[in-house]
Amino acid sequence: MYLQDLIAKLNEYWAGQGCLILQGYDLEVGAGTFNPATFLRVLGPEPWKAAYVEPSRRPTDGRYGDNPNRLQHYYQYQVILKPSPGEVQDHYLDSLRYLGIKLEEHDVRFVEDDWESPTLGAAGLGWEVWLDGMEITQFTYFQQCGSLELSPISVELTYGIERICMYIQDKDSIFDVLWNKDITYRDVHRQGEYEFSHYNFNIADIDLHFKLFDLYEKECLAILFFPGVRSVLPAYDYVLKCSHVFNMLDARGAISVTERVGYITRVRNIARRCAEQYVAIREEMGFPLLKETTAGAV
Amino acid sequence: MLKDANFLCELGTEEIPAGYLPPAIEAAKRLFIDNLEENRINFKSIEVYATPRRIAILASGMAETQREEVAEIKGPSVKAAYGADGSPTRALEGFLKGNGIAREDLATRDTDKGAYLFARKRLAKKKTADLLPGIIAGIIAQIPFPKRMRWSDKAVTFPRPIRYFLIILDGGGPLEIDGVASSNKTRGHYIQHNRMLEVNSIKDYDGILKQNGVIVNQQERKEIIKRDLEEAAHKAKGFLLEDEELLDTVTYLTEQPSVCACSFDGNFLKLPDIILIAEMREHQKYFSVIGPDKKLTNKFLVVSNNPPTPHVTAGNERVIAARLNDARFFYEEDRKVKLADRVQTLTSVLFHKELGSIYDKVQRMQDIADFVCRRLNLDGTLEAKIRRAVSLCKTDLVTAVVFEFPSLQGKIGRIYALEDGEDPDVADAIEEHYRPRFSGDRLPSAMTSLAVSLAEKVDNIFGSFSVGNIPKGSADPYALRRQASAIVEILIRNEINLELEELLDAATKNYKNGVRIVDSILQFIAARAKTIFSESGLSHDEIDACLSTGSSDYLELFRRARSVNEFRKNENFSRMLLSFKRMNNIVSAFRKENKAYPLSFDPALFRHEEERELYDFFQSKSETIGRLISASNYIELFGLLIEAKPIIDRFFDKVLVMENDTRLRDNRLYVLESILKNFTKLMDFSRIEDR
Repeated sequence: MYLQDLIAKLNEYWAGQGCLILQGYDLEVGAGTFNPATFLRVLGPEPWKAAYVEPSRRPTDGRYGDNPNRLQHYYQYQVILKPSPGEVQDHYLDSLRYLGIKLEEHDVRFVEDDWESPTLGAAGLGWEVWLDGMEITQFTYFQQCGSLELSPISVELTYGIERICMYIQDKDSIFDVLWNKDITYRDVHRQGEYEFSHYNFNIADIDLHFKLFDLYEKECLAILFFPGVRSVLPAYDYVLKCSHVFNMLDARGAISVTERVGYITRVRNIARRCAEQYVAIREEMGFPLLKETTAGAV
Repeated sequence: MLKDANFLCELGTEEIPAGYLPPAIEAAKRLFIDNLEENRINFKSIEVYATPRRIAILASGMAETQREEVAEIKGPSVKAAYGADGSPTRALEGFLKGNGIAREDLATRDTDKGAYLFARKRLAKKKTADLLPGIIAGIIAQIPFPKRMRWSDKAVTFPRPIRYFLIILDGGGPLEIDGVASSNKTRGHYIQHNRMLEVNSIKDYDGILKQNGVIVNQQERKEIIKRDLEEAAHKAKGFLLEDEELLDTVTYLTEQPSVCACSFDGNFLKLPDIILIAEMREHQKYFSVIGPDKKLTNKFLVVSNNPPTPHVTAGNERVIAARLNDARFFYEEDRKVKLADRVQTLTSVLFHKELGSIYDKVQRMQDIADFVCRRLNLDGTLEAKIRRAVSLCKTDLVTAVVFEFPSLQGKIGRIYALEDGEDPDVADAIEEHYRPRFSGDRLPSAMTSLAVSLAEKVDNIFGSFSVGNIPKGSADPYALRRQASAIVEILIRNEINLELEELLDAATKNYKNGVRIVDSILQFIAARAKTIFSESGLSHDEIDACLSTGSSDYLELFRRARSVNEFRKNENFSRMLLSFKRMNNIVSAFRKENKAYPLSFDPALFRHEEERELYDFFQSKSETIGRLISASNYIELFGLLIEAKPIIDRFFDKVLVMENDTRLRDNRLYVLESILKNFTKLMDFSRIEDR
């Protein structure tokens, strides 16, 4: 199975489970969790079911395209289900069967892994899912997001699609994964891995990024407190920008241990303000999705 | 499996973390027993079984109804029960109504708080089935798990979602727990037999699960795993590297364990064993295989939760190859810089925000170690080794391998130090200075190791006290009690005389409020020493008599206390003690009133032969006494006192010490005091009980 077929299959499967099939967000994010379709939608009482591919950036994980298992840009397949359905583990296992993995012949394990994102003020309990010893999915029941306690609880499934593809295609390197029958992951992303590793580690202007962090943070607060118009989505974009700029500074080694905590707190604070504002605005709107829930049973 | 069970409750869950289950099994059992007893429900026996996906409570001989019981309940006092005219007050009426009792059932009895009304009440005999939902919900709420979570829109919390309740109770239908109805259905293995299965009788439970891929009894699973691991290791022409902790973990990671033998590229064996083992064990929960030559082989064993297939082998082999590639990368990166060249890097690693970096900590340790060297008169070579070991002992904290596997701190430092060509004693000290890491762990014994270890522990305690992190009650987040115990134990077991007070005094300049906190640290250590002494069989008066001298040389204190303990078995001991206390009482009574009074001595003032005899005896033994004390030979020293006993007794029979003639009195007091002086600094004999 090619990478693009794997994505198509997952879309098909989760659409069948009643999920909206969305797209990755159009800003740099570290994971699918940052997409407003997860971060904001898990807040408040409204139900939500969505799945999407999230192109994700982790500047510090760059290895110049030399390491067969590590990338600074990769893809997550993200499923978010709110409230978490009773049989979600079984639905997840069925999704692996849908990809053609005969589970009876493999060792699938749910291994304890509690997840926390200090920048988003988010935390959850769950597992990493192992397929014959390899981690292929993060499975998390969100307990907190934007520093707010959640109710109801959402469950997030994050598939590492490159890894699953390596497994299915029996490849030892991500770069050897076939995207379709002619083109490999290397053809698509190797140059980017090399160039961005250089940029992230050696070229990115440190002063510029420190300035950008301050400017983005200021803009976020300006939007949240703009007199007369209540909005949150544009403000949340600047939380994402701050988070990415912070990751860049981290990759450049520009942030000391003590400063780190300070920057993380600043991002968490604006993320919390956005979360609060989002819930307030949705409440004013009467939590519209409470009435017209998305179709389909999970 | 529990025989003749007549109650079964299985909580079906999603995978509960392996480490949570062993304590949960114990807690569930205890909570269930407590609840049954509190609720007057008779039972014979209780067992609790657990897999990652279920916790099952079984009971045998459980009664269908509560035990009949008549309880005596206390009502209001007579004074509060009746008004001035003898009519019942509202307090009494409320008591009668609340308990459904008639006035004629009341009896008056005197208590230490005055006369009170009592009533005998037949307690209701409820059905067990009606009480169980509350009991089970209570257990679910009370098992002390490290973390709990919520799921969906439910209010109940548990470490992972609860999916179903199976309850079978003779004479009871389905029950409702936390708003969820129970059934008589369990669930098979989540891959092979993922469906609900009816259990019609408790005796079928175990068997039905077995047929459907689940061994519910943890002990049975553990034995199967152990047997299969040993067999697989044997087949691979080697031995299993025993790992009890990992065995427990995999027991609670599987419902249907089977062992799958795999191997990795033999080239990786060039890496240090501990890195390979850490990768396999900590990241992947694999067991290692040792060859007949006792060396690590490239075979490893996976405990799978599904029958092994070529996919399982190939998948795990691929994963370990990627992991070991990472490990080799970390190792090679680490080896580009010698440990000695990492010392400066420690300035950037924070130890504590008020106590500075790890580098600062090492400097303080250096001062402490220097003092130890001087005080123990260690030779130059040894001192140089200790200095070197202190400076290197934390350098592995800035290596990639320790970043990846914190559990390898010290261990990998030892290996890197040997590779760097450091002295083997220095290398050993890097590993051993952390010891003992847990209670019962091996203590450092080589001088280099133990000097660094003492420095590490003294700095941890001194540093923590100086910033106010002092253990209170059961809270001891930095394990300072264990470290204080370790200091005492290291000194005793290695027979090292060291006054800790002098050591602490010498270190005060490095700590905020250093001088002020020395006493509280000494008390803290003394408290641990008491525990250690008493655990080794010494009684509290033996310990008190020695510790109250104010010395902080725990080896010597321990020896003395042990000598008393030993010498007590001698039949003359208590008589000797009596004579000794007699001398002591007179002198201390005098000194209480005349603290600095100078006693003078002149042999010409002896008026009785007995005076001279006593004086001569101790005079002739003074050299022996000095020798015995400096050789810590307390048993012989006490023997000498026994020898002196008749002489002391004769002295007291014939001689009046507190003579009116102060010259004679002073002369006699002088003799007694000079005898006592040798002994009272060793211990306070007055604290030793006569038994």
